[in-house]
Amino acid sequence: MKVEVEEKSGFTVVSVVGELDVYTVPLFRKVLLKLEGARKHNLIVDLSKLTFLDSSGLGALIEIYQKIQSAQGEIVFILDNPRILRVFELVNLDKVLTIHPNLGRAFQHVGAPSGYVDEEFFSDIGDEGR
Amino acid sequence: MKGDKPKAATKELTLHLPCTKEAILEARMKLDSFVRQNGFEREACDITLVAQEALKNIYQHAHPIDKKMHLHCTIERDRVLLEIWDKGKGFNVGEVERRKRPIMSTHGRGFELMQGLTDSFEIKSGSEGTFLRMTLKKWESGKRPDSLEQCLP
Repeated sequence: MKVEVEEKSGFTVVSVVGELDVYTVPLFRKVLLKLEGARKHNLIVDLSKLTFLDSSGLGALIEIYQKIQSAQGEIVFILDNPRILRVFELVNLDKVLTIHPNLGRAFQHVGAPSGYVDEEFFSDIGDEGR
Repeated sequence: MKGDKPKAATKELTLHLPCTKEAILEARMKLDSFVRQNGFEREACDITLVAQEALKNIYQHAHPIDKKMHLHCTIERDRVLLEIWDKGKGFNVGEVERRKRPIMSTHGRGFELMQGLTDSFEIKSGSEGTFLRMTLKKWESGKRPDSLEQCLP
């Protein structure tokens, strides 16, 4: 699993590439903690390159949603894989979270244009996991 | 007899694994390969997710006396039968099934996923361990969304 982070128009776009499950959740949490420390409270979580999600991954996504809510930030998810969407539906998360099929629609929702790539911010974390 | 379909050969995979986090991944990979090789490519993601949730429960809660997790997968013509068991301490199934998790609960969603993704789901648990039997049928056209390429090999 790989987590990519970009800054775009005041939003932090966190892209999860690969599998988010009991094995990779620790790395995902590490990234989220760093974002929290940097007071990044407006997030777009891009799950369009996610290939596998288990209940541990779901728990981590709920956790970040709750943290952003309590910090009064905004969080939007990008998800276009019907398999992953079905996992969300089974636990009714699709009714609570704001989900869009692509980045363009997500930016439309939050009312922002495109931005730049922040390559240095997460350079110390690197690509861990599978 | 005229009209009878020839009986398809049953294929089986049996795994007895150490109760470790690493073994869950090993089981998932072996199961994924087994079901894909036997015509369940489209269903493989659901099958392996269900198995991972069951094995995770053993790893996290069962504390089996033999320190093992057991998995038996049988492929029949149009369905997969998945049996997963442990010789652990067991739990009160009724209590867990009755427990309504809030939508935003960060834990305990594995049961919901297993029940939601399977066509049948049976569980027996007691002081000698827990036994899960689940079936997943081959998808019929239109039963599930069609644009599922991202999960295919």
